[in-house]
Amino acid sequence: MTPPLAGIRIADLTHYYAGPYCTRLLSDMGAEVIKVESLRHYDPSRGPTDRQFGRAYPSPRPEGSFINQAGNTNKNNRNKLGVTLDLTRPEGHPLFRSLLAVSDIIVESYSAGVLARFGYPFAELQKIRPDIIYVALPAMGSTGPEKHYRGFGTTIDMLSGIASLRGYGDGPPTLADINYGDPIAGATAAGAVLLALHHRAATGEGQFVDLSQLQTLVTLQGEHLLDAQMNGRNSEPIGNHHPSWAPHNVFPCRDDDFWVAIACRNDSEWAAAASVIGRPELAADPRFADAASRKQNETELESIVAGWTRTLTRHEAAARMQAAGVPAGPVHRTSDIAIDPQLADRDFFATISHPQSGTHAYPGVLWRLSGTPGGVSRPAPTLGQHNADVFGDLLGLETAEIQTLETDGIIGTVPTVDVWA
Amino acid sequence: MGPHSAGEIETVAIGGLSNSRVLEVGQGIAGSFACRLMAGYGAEVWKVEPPQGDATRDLGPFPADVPNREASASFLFLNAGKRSATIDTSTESGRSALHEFGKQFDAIVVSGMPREVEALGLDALAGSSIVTYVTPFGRTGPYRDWQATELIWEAMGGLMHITGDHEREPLKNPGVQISYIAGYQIYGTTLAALYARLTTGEGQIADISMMECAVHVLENTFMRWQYQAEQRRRGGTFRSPVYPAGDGFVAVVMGLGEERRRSFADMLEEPALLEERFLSRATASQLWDEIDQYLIPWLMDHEKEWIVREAQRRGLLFGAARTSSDLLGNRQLESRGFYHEVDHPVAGALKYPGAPYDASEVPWKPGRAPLLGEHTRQMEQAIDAARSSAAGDGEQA
Repeated sequence: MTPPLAGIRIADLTHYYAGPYCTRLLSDMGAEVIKVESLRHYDPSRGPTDRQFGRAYPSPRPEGSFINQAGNTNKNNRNKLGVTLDLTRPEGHPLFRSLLAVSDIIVESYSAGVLARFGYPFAELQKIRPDIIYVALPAMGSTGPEKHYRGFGTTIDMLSGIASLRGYGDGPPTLADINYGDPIAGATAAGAVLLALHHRAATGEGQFVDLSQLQTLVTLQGEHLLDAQMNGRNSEPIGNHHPSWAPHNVFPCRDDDFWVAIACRNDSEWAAAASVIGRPELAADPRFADAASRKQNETELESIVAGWTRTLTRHEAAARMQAAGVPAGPVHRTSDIAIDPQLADRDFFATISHPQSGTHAYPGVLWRLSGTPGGVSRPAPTLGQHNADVFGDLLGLETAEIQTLETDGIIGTVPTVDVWA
Repeated sequence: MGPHSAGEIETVAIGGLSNSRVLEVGQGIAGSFACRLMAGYGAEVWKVEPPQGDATRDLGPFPADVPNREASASFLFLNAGKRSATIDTSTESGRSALHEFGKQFDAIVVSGMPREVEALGLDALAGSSIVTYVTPFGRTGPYRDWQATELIWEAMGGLMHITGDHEREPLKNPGVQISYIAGYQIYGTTLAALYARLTTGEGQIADISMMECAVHVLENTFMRWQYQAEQRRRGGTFRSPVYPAGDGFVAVVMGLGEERRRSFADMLEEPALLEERFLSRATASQLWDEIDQYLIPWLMDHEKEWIVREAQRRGLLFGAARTSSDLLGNRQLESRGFYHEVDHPVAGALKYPGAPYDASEVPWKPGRAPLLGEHTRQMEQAIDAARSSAAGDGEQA
């Protein structure tokens, strides 16, 4: 059962989270992904060279370098091979060109124009490999008056309009603990690579895919953009409420800061919920008998439901609602996710042993295929871990050549610059 | 771009997904969005609706808030570029028609509760087609028969616990974010399976769990638990970077270096902020209350897009909280041809968001949403033709 992207090779120049998440999805599908970093500028998501800062580290911390122990980096870069080479020095370029010549795809997430400044605009990439697929993930796109705008999660969350829609409904735009733009752009980009592979299969042509992270997020607001035109208004945050369904919220349970989410999409789900909470007569009560009335009396409705949820644990409340066919679920903490029975039953987590971070469970393959399944087969690479394999075995350099490159600092495993200094 | 009708004959293209025919079955925003993307990048997409129409036809928003099955913004956006045929799959003849029609497709994306979608018998088509199932929790497991909506996926996916204010209830993301993210994942999964088929010649079954799509969004948060048993919770001690500006809100993102802080002082034209204590990384992060004395009035004196322009050109990664109107008029999106004006027989001409990415060899196809059952007759003709042809073969044998 050969995975879908067996035999496809990707030169992965991405940093942080969006790009690496894209190439992780593809490596899970069997693509050989070669993560290309530099001793002068390794993937900044690895963190500083000399201390723990701003990210998850294994605790207790095993022997190893901090840059090989960053949690999210290890999560997003499993299955990949790791090399280093230095494009700020002339000796780095023949290596890079050799790698590109044997790669089907190159993915990068630099600011617009950076790869071109290193000497590799798309036209040059095509000279090296005529059918190359080049996918770029600049924040705003490669063209346009704002192409130079840079941003991490917060910036893009705001500029894309998502932040304006998020909130309890009575305050300023609210940000999330997660940079939503990253997994969204990454998943979109993985699809873009597949589109280009299909195109190449049909025509023999490669192409340049310019993925604007901004656009991937604005796309998610289609109905709001149409509403603004139809009705001359901008959507406001409505917290946990739904425009037309009620009850639709999280409700406090017996213990402090434990909650259950309940959503009734129609009258029959509300009738079922009313029975579950021991108030079947509320199904026909004029205050709650149809969707419009339930929305009008939402505060009162929620107070009644909360009176019931407060007597139960979140799991009890969810189970009783589900038994009656009502959408409900516990608000999970991260620790709950790690032991969730549904995820466990489906083998959602993959156990990976990393040479400098230890053994842990990581989210596994999301794209589940019956005939050609993907898989997780190796940990994230330490910096430059596969230099010998890739430059020697794959690109055919002699051991002496590789040694010279190491001595000259073009390749290696120990950074010469701390990106976070 | 001029108005565009789904009824027009398309010129033949051989690239992108133009070799692929995709059938969308069942109810679910995620599957609908995935299929809309496939249509946009060239696939011929048919949507099977129940006789009363897809649920998003009732979701709105609507012009003047008057419910109208042919003018629901959710439906219009999610189904641009598709054909619509109605089938009553609660009847045996309906399921038989679906089965016969499904054979003519390379991929079938079917969304709903596992029991319901499995009753359609589409597994039988997986020998030659890709059948992608999209269910709330997956086709297997103890929650297989649990009902869910966006709120439930966000709650159980661990996203709500870490979103919102420290002192308040967990907060959901706006709209249907998980469905859209899952849509991008379903698109990738289905294309991966179609790509495998180019080699194997065989179909297969894909199993997408909406809950797993939600959990995939957890980034650092999940690893903080896995690596160091640290539980993240919403709010906490971090200052919100969101400030009011003259005409809305901005996010003030400073960066770490002295150079950036000098640029900041220069932008505010405030020499006091050039004092050493404001420039040094060690001390500056404790001085926000003082910095706010200068920052807050300056922000209120200027408009948000101007602030972002000034900040960005100085390397400060500020953002502005844009509204839908802001986005519709945004020069970056306009210059990239992101919007397409598309006419619709009932909803009229509107500007639709287009391609999430620009593929140099695969132009985006805007299209319009179909009327309910607009192409039912064509479907019936296709089914009849297939049945006659099979009967003819039978006779000859």
